[in-house]
Amino acid sequence: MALGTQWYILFNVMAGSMAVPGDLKEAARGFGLRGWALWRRLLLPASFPYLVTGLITASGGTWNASIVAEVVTWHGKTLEATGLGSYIARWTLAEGQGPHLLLGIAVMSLYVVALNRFLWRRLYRLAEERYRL
Amino acid sequence: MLLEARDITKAFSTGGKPFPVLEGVNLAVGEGEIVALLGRSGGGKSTLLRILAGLIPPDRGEVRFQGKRVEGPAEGMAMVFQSFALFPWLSVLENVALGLEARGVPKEARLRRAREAIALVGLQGFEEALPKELSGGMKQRVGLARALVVEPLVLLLDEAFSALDPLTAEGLRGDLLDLWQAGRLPARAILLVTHNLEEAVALADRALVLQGSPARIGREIAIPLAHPRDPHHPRFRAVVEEIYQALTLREEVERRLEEEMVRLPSASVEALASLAEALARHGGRADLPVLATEEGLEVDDLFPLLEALELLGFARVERGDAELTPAGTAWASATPEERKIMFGEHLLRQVPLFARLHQAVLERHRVPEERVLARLRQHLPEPEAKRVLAVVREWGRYAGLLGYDDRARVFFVPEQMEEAPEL
Repeated sequence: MALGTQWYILFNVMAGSMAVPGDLKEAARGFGLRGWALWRRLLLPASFPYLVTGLITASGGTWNASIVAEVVTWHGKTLEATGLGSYIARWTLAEGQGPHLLLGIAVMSLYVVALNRFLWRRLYRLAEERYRL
Repeated sequence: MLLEARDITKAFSTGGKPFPVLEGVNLAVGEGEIVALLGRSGGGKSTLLRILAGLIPPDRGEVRFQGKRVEGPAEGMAMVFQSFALFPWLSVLENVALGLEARGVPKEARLRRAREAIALVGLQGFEEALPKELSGGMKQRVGLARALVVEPLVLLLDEAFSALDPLTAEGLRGDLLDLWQAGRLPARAILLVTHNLEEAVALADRALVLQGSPARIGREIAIPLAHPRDPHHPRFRAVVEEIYQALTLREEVERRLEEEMVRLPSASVEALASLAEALARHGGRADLPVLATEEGLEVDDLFPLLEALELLGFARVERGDAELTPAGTAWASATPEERKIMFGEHLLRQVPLFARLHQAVLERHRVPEERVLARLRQHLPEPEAKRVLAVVREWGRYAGLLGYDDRARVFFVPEQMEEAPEL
């Protein structure tokens, strides 16, 4: 999962540090800002909105992958972990279990909404208010 | 000498083609003086300032600061930027302390010195504010404090007052001058780049005028006026006039026109007509400063217009005056229809680029924009080529010489032209 999703973060941070305005870079260079101070004061804050975008994409991808990976059928053997993914998969395959399936989907939606509300939206607001260029 | 530049030459390369900006520039800034660097926009003055500051290396020549060769950003110099260049996520205090942080000054000392610098520029009480909460003038005070806190020997101002409204700019200039005269600035020299002549004359002891393309120091004009300087005093006006003239030297304009036959100035037809009318109202001849004030323009805005009128053979610029030619006088008083026709005639006669393009369009009926752009690129760097192309489109369409298809990006023969290509 880390292997697949690090790229989202890496590329977004790269895009972010390339988007640092020239005058800020020039000012930083003029005042001799280097190394960690340069990252802490300029490059990371300037690419924060990009970093959040990268994190959201990465976490979405990760979550997707982890839910799907809860049920693996391979060479006729079925490996199953307990979790939302396998729950939904089980009741999808069973017949006449609409309510269970519905519950699974409702819980999943609730997760997504809560995550968006309490984590991502806050980070986005921070990016918008404090780190906008 | 505190700061010296010898034989500075710099070219930027665009698409593999070098585009010379500075050629053999020499200058020296001594202790205790304020020097203004003046020139046309895009004339290389900001580039020169950055080379002096060690932010970009020259292609040839060298900069010496306190006798030592400058190889990178020099510690004893600090710059104030036109765009303020404040870090939006840092408070005023943190912004000001930035330069000290980079030099490894311990936190306590750094904050104390930053507070002192903030107090010096009159921003006490705003230490914890974020830049976006400040007005433009206050932002530039932060920019100034950030430069002063590192106690530079030379303070560099890159159009530092240009983004401010005139009143705010005047206030900040006055405060800076007061601090300078009271000996409260660490700096022992100030070098300012500006396109505002009045600003240069209000502040500087000496003005250096960059001329030509590539630019070199063309004139040095002493400003031996006592402070406080009154912008309405005849001697103040005389110095402003002298600098105007240095910027509009006859041979200078001619050489530029020759060198840059393809570098059409950015001037809307509407603005050209309005300027010609203004000149006509003055009896066909007017002083440039008067004209600029009357049209509500800065020098920078006036020059491309005058250059365009000159190119078209509608006006001449000489010794700080602009004068309409007989054709220009006729154009200024013509009806809109006649005006269009005259404009087209003059374009074809005076601007070889147009004559060639018009010929090509008549012969082939359709000429892709890309072909014109490729031609322009042979003489100009990419952004300039695009800019000139936009001028070609506007002028050509207005004169009825060229049609332009936005979607296909081709020039074609406008309809009424098919039967009467002679116009």
